[in-house]
Amino acid sequence: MHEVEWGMPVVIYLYFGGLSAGVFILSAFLAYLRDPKLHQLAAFGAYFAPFPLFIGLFLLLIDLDRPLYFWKLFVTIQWTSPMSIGSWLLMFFSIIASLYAILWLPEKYSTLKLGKLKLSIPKNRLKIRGILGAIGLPTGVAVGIYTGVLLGAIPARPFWNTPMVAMLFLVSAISTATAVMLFASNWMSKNKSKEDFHHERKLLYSADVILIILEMFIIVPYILHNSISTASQSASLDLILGGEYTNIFWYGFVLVGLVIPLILETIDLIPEIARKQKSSHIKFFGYLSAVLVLVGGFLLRYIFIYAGQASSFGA
Amino acid sequence: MSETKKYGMLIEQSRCINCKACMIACQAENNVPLHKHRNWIEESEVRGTYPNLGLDFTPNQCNHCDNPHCERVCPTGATFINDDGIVLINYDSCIGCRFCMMACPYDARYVDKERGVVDKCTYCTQRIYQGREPACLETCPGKVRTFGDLNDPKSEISLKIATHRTEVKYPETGTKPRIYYIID
Repeated sequence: MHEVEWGMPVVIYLYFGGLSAGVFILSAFLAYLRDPKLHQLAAFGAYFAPFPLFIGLFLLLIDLDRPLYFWKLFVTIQWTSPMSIGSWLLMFFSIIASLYAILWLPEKYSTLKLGKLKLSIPKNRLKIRGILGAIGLPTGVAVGIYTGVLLGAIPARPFWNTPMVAMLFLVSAISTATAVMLFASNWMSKNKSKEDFHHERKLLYSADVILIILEMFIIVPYILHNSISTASQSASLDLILGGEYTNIFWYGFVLVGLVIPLILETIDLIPEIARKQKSSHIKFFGYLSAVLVLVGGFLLRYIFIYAGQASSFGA
Repeated sequence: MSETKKYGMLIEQSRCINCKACMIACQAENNVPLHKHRNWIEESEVRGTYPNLGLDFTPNQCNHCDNPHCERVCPTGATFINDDGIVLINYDSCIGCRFCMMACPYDARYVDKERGVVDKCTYCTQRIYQGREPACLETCPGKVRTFGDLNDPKSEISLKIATHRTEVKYPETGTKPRIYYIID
């Protein structure tokens, strides 16, 4: 391909779509744990989840060459097209995430007045919320993984054409969502007791450390597999092994987005691992690792969208 | 002869002199936007050392695959395979998402910004359904291309494919392309 057909709007959409899905997954899971200490974080996740997706969908819409025809997506289901299935999935997920957010609103907002129309949230909101969370969680996983399937399902672009991309995008989505939660947890730590804050942090750091390690061990087989695969596959790998996207991949995504936050988060967890006294948390590092993970997740989408379009069979 | 037709094209690339008349004829015939092309000529690097040199020109276009990935990934079903094997686009259904452009290993598609749709070679349906030849074929001074019904064993293209060694581009992508190149 001589021109880049999918540019920044698609990168941002893939990033925000994954982020929304990840935050919803975490929020629904935290709510499911029914730990009062984690209630605030679950509520934050529920409010936050729909918004990045809405921004992403808007960008995706205006990126179409005929935005006003977008409804054509919803008068058909093309089972062989990941984008068709993804569109339905996104619609379904947006509705669930929005309803879920509304059901988390405090009691005093339970009646919504729109002129003469009066909408009140049903009394058994907790039950409905639980069910929505249970439906939304696997839907969120599907949304997170679909963004990678979208790219992976195309033999014409060797850089994308491996199942590893879907896995990498899903894990990265949950990792960036953990970073958002971590940022929020630090931000709201003033209203919490030290123990509660510590509890949240331990959970989020542990989750993110596991997710980052998973990402690293998806990248390793991705590179190994592609390098010993067909000529076009291994040629596509040159884009990140000496080619145009080498520096941004290794220094940007791997070092800044994975290794440094992994080190920062592990340092905070050392007292937990060694069963010593509670760690003296440095808030700045909490913010820093959250921001770095978010930057890394964005760079991952950026690299894959652009490098993938530069890879082809002709090369 | 089979009941249904299946159109295909045979390209004898050793006859191509890279005059690009086919590209201009196609643009004029199909109102292709400036700087966009439905067909193009690929130039190889010069081979060998002077005075023993070689250079190839390969005409390219949509391969009208039997298993077109562009059709498979189209989210609205705008791209479809016609009864006669020609891969066409229903422009009313195209939303311009450009997923098909990602999926095509031949990079045969382009965006028509004015209409907001993706477009590509149609084998000049407006001409062939009237019994005329595609524009690229009619204008070619080297007679590089042969167009016809692959299902008819007596058609010129079928006879040529039967009596020559041919290859298709990137069969490993599983697209089952229907543009044949004569190996010489």
